[in-house]
Amino acid sequence: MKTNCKQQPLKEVLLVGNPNTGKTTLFNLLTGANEHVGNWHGVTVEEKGREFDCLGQKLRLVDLPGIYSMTALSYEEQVAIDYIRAHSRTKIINICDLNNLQRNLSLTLGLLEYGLDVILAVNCMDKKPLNKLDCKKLSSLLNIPVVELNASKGYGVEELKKQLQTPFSLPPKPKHLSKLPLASIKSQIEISDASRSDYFAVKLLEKDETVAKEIHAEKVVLPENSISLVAKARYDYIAFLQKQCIASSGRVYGASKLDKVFLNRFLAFPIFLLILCGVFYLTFFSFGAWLSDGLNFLLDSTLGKLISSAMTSAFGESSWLTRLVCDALIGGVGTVLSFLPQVGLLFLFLSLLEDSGYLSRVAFASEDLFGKLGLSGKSIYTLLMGFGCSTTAVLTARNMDDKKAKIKTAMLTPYMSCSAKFPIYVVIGGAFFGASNVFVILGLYLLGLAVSVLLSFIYEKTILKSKQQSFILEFPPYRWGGVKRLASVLFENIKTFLVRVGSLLISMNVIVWLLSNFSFTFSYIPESGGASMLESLGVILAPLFAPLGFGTWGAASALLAGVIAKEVVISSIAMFNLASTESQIAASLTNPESMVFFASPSAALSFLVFCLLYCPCISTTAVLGKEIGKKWTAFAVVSQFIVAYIVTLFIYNVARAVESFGLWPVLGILAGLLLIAGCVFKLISTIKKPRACRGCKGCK
Amino acid sequence: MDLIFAVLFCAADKYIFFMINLTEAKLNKDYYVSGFSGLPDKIFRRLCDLGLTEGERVCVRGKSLMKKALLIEVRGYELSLKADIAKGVMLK
Repeated sequence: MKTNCKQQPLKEVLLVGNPNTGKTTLFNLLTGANEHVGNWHGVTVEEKGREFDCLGQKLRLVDLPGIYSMTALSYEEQVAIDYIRAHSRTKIINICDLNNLQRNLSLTLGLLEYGLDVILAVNCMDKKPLNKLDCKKLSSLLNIPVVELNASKGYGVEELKKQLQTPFSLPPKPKHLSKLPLASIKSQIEISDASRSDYFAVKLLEKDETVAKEIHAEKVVLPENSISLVAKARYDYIAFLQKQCIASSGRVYGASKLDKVFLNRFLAFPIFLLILCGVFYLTFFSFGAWLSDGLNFLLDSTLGKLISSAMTSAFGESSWLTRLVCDALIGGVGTVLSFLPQVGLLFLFLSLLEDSGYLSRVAFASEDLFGKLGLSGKSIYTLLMGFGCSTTAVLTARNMDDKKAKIKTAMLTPYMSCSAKFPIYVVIGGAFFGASNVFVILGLYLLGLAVSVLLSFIYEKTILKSKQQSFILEFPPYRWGGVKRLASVLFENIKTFLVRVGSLLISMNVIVWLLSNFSFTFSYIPESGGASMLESLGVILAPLFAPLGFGTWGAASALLAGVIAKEVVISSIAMFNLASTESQIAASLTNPESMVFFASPSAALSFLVFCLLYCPCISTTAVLGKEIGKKWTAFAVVSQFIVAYIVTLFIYNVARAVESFGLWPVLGILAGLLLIAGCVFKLISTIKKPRACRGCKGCK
Repeated sequence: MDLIFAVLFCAADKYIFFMINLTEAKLNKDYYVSGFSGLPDKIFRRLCDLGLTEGERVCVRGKSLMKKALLIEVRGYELSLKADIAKGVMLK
């Protein structure tokens, strides 16, 4: 067992509880932090600590991922359990959901078996709770303090703080332990720490392999059906507790009439796709686009003009400083900044989906498909979060319990089109496809999904064959987070976006501008002429992209810069083409004299597809490296580039064929090719299949 | 007479204690868990932690399109399980 040898300046308090009981909500309330919360189990995937003021005393509160018992099934549960066991001399706040008290108390008993100083905090989030609890009676029966509170509103928190002031003391062992044959187990093992002997005996009865290995007790003789025995003892005791002090209304936690529609066998998936399309339409076209246009107008016509005229009068029109500010900052950064409303809206909708509890229903409905791909329905959460930001989404892959499924989910997340990519689609797609850009963008999002599904299938058949997934998922009730919560989500995401634009994007744009306007001898190109640093590099890369239809060095270097952050792709293009508004960029993209231009709509489409699929940005790569190891990250990045190249090549050539021959002949040829491929595949599989001999009972 | 009773008793026995697994259960009908078979220890333990213990009342509330996932109600809350796991939960 790990012990914490570091000198801890502050006393710690741990937040422990079942998933989705409001641990992080209470954490945010007590410490004033703004950690991500959601109506889904496993939102928190690592421990997070922060100090808070507990009636004048400074304490460090640690938020842990949710667990169901002291035995882990997935990685993030192991994190929590290791942390608890390494800090067994600290006070523990065990949060229980009042509406689902039976199962929550099972964990409480598990913690008491280990011998921890537990304060039971019963979280009551709804106005009409399903259960009513007699706190005093429960407290006297379990011999631990019980506090009723509301983590989102703050009711009952003072009482909790008072309880935290009491000195550390161990409660007596829970009574259900006397029903278990612990003595016979204890006689077979040797444990140095006598106070933990009950815990080890129970875990051996539960056939916990990690504990058995830890105390070298793999060969202990156990009674028959011992796992069941422990569970029955716990739940029988809970049933006794319930009889004594819990009044249940008989309603079922999580059940709702809405499920009749959302979980309908045939409607569930179409409804989900419809909701997704609705979200994208509202964000990118109707509502979001109006807001974005407004902001664009405001930024360009007022702020932009003001700054550029001030710069011109101060330094002169052609001075390099003026050009830097006008092209790199107003043109490049301004273009991305005008997408602020849309990014905000997208995150708002994603958080609505997450908070409402609908995602569990989607995971349930998509289990059919994902199970076949060697993933579990839980992957949908990670993939959907990928529409917002791949970096944070990759982290959520931790709640998969199979390592290979986790690697697969993490590797596929960057194929989801993240929020940084859609300015590229809107600007370039808008220039070439006009009103029908709706379908192009929707098609791109679906293409990302399709490619990841296809790759997942290929990985499952080849290198990443995952074990059977244990898809066990609880259903949270439908909830409405309230206007306040939505406002805070919106504020938080806008802040993140602005900080990102203000720091990363501005510095990247300045660097790209300098590289594209100065040569290797540091002479200013517009005055001296010659090739800039970026041009010299871009020219080397450009032939690589020529088969994809955009072999200009401008496009190549924009893609190269986009590896740092995907927003840089469009801001670099705006900068190269000396354009500052969407319409100016659109006009310049079709003009063969500008640095980045596309000869035909198919070339533009091919560029968009490549942007969708190619290597993840630096921060995602870093997180991938941390989560799935260097080897797999390198594989993910390289394979993503290759996949992007192949898919783009295919789409570009099909689009070109459509341009020259019309839609129907090309579709006909594709259908014919598909048919032939299908026949060949069928033929091969028939030949490969061993033929059964007559009267065969299988080969020995 | 004895024979008739024996046959009747046998039939009743079969009717009352007829074992099915969770995937074969009818929608919205109460069953009681009678045992588990063929589940790996870690999955079995997790089901036990979640309250799916022997003798407990369960009820199937929904199935996905290809019936690969089940939604069940147990101990006053809803839980969804993969069909492969549900096959290992025996009911009566």
